Formats: sequence, C-alpha cells, structure tokens
Amino acid sequence: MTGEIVKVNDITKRFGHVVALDHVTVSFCEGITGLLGPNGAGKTTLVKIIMGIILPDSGEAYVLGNNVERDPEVRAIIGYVPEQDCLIEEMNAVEFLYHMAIISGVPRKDAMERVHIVLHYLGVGDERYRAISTYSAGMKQKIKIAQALVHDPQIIIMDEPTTGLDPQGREEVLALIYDLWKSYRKSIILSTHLLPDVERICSHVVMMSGGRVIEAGPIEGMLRGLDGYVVRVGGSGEDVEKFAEVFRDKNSLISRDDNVFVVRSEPSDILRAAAETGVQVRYLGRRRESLEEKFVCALAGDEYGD
Amino acid sequence: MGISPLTYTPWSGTRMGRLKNVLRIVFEEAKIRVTVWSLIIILITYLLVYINAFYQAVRPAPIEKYGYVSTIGNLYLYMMLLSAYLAFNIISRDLKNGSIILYLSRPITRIEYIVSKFLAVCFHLSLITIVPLLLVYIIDIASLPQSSKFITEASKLLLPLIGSALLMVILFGSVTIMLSSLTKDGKWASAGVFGVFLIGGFIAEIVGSALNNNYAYLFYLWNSVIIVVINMFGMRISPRSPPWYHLPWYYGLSIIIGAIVLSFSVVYWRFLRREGIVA
Ligand SMILES: Nc1ncnc2c1ncn2[C@@H]1O[C@H](COP(=O)(O)OP(=O)(O)OP(=O)(O)O)[C@@H](O)[C@H]1O
Ligand SMILES: [Mg+2]
Repeated sequence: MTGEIVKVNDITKRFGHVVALDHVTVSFCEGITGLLGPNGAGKTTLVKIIMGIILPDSGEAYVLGNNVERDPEVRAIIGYVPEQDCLIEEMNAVEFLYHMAIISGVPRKDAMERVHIVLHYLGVGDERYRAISTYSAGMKQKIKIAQALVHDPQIIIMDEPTTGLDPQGREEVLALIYDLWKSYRKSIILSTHLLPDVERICSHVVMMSGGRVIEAGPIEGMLRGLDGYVVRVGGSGEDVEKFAEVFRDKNSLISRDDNVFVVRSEPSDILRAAAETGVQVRYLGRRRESLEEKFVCALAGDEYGD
Repeated sequence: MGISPLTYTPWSGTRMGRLKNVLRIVFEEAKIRVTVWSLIIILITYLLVYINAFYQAVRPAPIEKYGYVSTIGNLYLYMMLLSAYLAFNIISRDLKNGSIILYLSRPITRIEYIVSKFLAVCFHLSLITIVPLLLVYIIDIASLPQSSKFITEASKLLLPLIGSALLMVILFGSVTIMLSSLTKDGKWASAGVFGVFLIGGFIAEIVGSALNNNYAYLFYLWNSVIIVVINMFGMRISPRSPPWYHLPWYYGLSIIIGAIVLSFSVVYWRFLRREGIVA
C-alpha cells in the first residue's frame, strides 16, 4: 500500500476480563482516516497503544516503520489530541503551548514562534493571554489541537475531537482537520463515534466494534460497494411481481416497498428487465447507501452474531 | 502564514541529545513552579537561616561547627514546607488535570518524565539548602579573623556542608515525588509530606522514652539526618546533646537510603511497571 503511516499487527489488549482489543491487525495510510466505532469499541485503547502510552498484551504497532515502544522519539512526529481533559488550566495558552513545545523537543529559540504560528492558524486571538480555565469548550478544544500541532508533527491522532462541541464548533474543527490534510499534508487519524464526521472529511475508514476491526479501506470503495438504485415502476400487479422476480433471482433485490424497489444492479439491466417484464419505469435514481447502514448492520451482526 | 514547514529536527536519538532534552525539561518544570508561594518560603528560609547563623557566629570560637548542625536541623523544617508546596503540584496536578497524558505522548520516556520532575524538585530544594548554607559559610569566612588554622578548619567544612545538603535534597525530593505521584489531590500529597517527616518524631519520642532505647530515635528522619551530619561528616556538636546523637552514622544513613529507595519503588510501581498510571 502506498503511504502507509501506521501499522498495527495482531494486537490484543485486556483490562481484567474485558478484552478491549482482540487480535487487531490494520494499517492506516496517508490522508484522513476515520477510526469509527461505538462507545467501548476499543478506539481509545488502540490509539493509546499506537502512541505507546499503554502497552499491548501481544502484538506490536509501528509508526512509519518505528516501534513506539522501543523508540519513544518517534512521538516527535506524532501529535496526539486525547479524548479527556488534559490542559493545564492555570496557565494561559501561550505558556501552556510553549511548555508542550519544549517537552516535545522544539529548540528554545523556535518554540515561542511556533506557539504563535499555531495559535494564529487556529484563530485564537488575544484570549491566548488569558488563563485556560476561563475558555469555552470550543476554545479548549482548539488548544488541545494546538498542543498537537506545536511541534509540527507529520501525523496527528485525534480522539473524539468534536465531542461536546456545538454544531458550529464541530463544523470548525472538521474544516480545520480537512485543511490540515489539504494544505499541509498532515496525515490524520480521527477517532469518533459520529459517522457524519467520517463521511464529511475522511478518505479512509477503519470501523471497529467490540475490540475488532470489522471493515477497513477507502471510503469511496465502501460506498461504491453499496451503491444501488431506487426504481419505482408502474404496471399490473402480475408484471410487477415478474419484475421483482428478475432481481430476486439475481440476488440483487435489496428491499421492496410495494412498487418501489431498491436493487443493486446497473441501470441498463434495470431498464432491460422492465422492458422484458412489461412494467413502466416511473423513477430511477441512484441511491447511495450511507456508511451508516453498513455501520448499523455491522453492529447488529456483532451484537446478535455471537 | 502557515503552520509548516518544519524548521528544525526534533529527533534527539543520541544519548547526549536525550540528556540535553531532559535538562531543558527540568529547567522548564522548575521555572513554572516559581510562584509567590515558593518565593515566600525561600525568602523566609533565607531570613531564618541568616538570623540563626548570626547568633551562632557571635560565639567566641573562630568557626563553630555546631552552628551549622543547628542550621541544618532548622533547614529540615523549611524543606518540609517547600516539599509540601511542591508535592501539591509537581505530579498530582498532572494527574488531576489530565495533562500527564500529554507528557506521555511526547518524545520522552516515563523514566525521563520522572527524572525531570525529580530534578526540578531537587533544584528548588537546593535553593533553600545548598545555597543558603554556602552563603552563610562565605559570610562566616569573610567576617571572622583569618589565620592559617582557621583556613584549614573552614576548608574541611565545605564538603560536609555540601554532602549534608545533598543528602537532604535527595531525601526530600524522592519523598516529594513519591507522595505527589500517589494522589490526584495535592492536599493529600502535602499532608503526606508532614506525615512522613514528622510522624516519626512522635513515634521516636514515645517509644524512645518509654523503652529508654536510643535506637527508637532512628524512626525520626530528622534524627537520622543529624546523626549522619554529626558522625559521618564530622560536624561538632555541643556537649549537652542527647546520647542518641552518637549512634553510628551508618544507622542513620541506612534509614535515609531506605526511605529514598522505598520512595522510588513506590514511584516505579505507580508509573513504570507495565500497567502503570494512565492505563
Ligand atoms: N483502564 C481501563 N480499565 C478497565 N477497562 C478499560 C480501561 N480502558 C478501557 N477499558 C475497557 O476497554 C473497552 C474499550 O474501551 P475504549 O475506551 O478503548 O473504547 P472507545 O472505543 O474509545 O469508546 P468511547 O467511544 O466511549 O471512547 C471498554 O469496554 C472499556 O470499558
Ligand atoms: Mg474513546
């Protein structure tokens, strides 16, 4: 695969009796990858293992070919936005980011400049000299992102960066993440349980549930695989039944509601079938099954499957 | 204006590079701990040490070694105050506000994190031990009548002074780090400092006087420090001192080293074993 940035190899992690990750093998590539899964799927655990903050029971994780467990210096090229509160609230944004820059190994002479560049990029104005404890949730989120950018990493891992924000704040953060990739070629792993976030900006998706990866790949591929057409037909009941039969035989009938069919088939095939069975096509439209349906299917399969 | 490009190489893979990085972090950590409170404690210490030294220095002897024993004894109390202040926020605060995870996501190891915090604490503690002791020493030398006998006496005092101060700094530093790493709530860490450094005093007094046993006094870390200062570093004491002042220095030293080792074991258990903090 071109541009593989993170590779996770057969990782298992238990917390007591809870299996948080169950033989997870997956790789992330350049671009924005959505790490999608419901609460408790193991996203945070996976991300922390990639960062080397916690250690797996078995398996290993590689970032650009380096094992974080063995070379903690690799973290110099990763930015991490944790899920929970993590800001030093008594400090103002400038002091805080400067501190983080120094700890990340940015030379003293460059650190202050980096702080202001990043704050400017995030649109933080004079508030930067106020104690972080006085900031709104959206501002705090920006500072959390800023500390992940201050040492200019190549890869940024964000754990639920839009949680707890109002729609406008969420929109801003998503636009920002997109810009990080678009304008600066920072690869991003975006952990979230919000599917629309993934659909909005991600080029790849890794779907997790119950500690396992249930789907991974480019997002278009996933959508194409699910493409279908909505057809509304008119005609006698008998003809419509025959029309339905054609697709049922080909196993491409997804659903049917009276005269409205959802079929996975090429338009030409649909029109041919209509002509052969003598129904009139009243409507034929592309239907993009959202990732959501797949997500929900996968969840259902996972919950009821075992 | 953008956020790129990379204008530096943050990689510090060499041993020297890592060491340099740790020292930078120590400096940063020490710097952000300088507050009104720490300055007040430091100022009070300097004032009291100076007053104490002044009263000792008017003694007739050219340079009174037991003046220093008394100063070092007092320092124990001031160090306790500063340690309580530092324990309140050196690691507890990182646990409380969650910023510990940011440290652990940086290109430093957990050991480097602990070492940086420890050295930052030691730096602050040195400000109220090694520095005032040396100041008093210099004032003493400058203000007392100079003779060759005096010079030899005085020069013999330098190493014991630094040695005692270092021993106390490491002792207080390790206990401070240990207590601070144990709780999110800085109040308990501070209370713990007083507990560790005072409680032995009560035990020592009660057990010591009840059993009339000199060894019981070793429970008190202060006594152990004094025993080492007197019997290992050879500082003179006044003839009226209690008998347990003359216990062998290696008893006192063992207690102190034991406390340091125990503290670091707790830190190890908290932070460095596989499933440490922030699981
Ligand atoms: N420190 C821990 N101790 C015990 N169990 C844990 C710990 N951390 C995670 N778990 C368990 O591991 C599983 C995966 O948790 P994880 O936090 O990785 O999920 P997540 O996908 O990030 O969920 P969320 O969307 O809620 O953040 C959960 O069942 C959780 O209860
Ligand atoms: Mg999570």
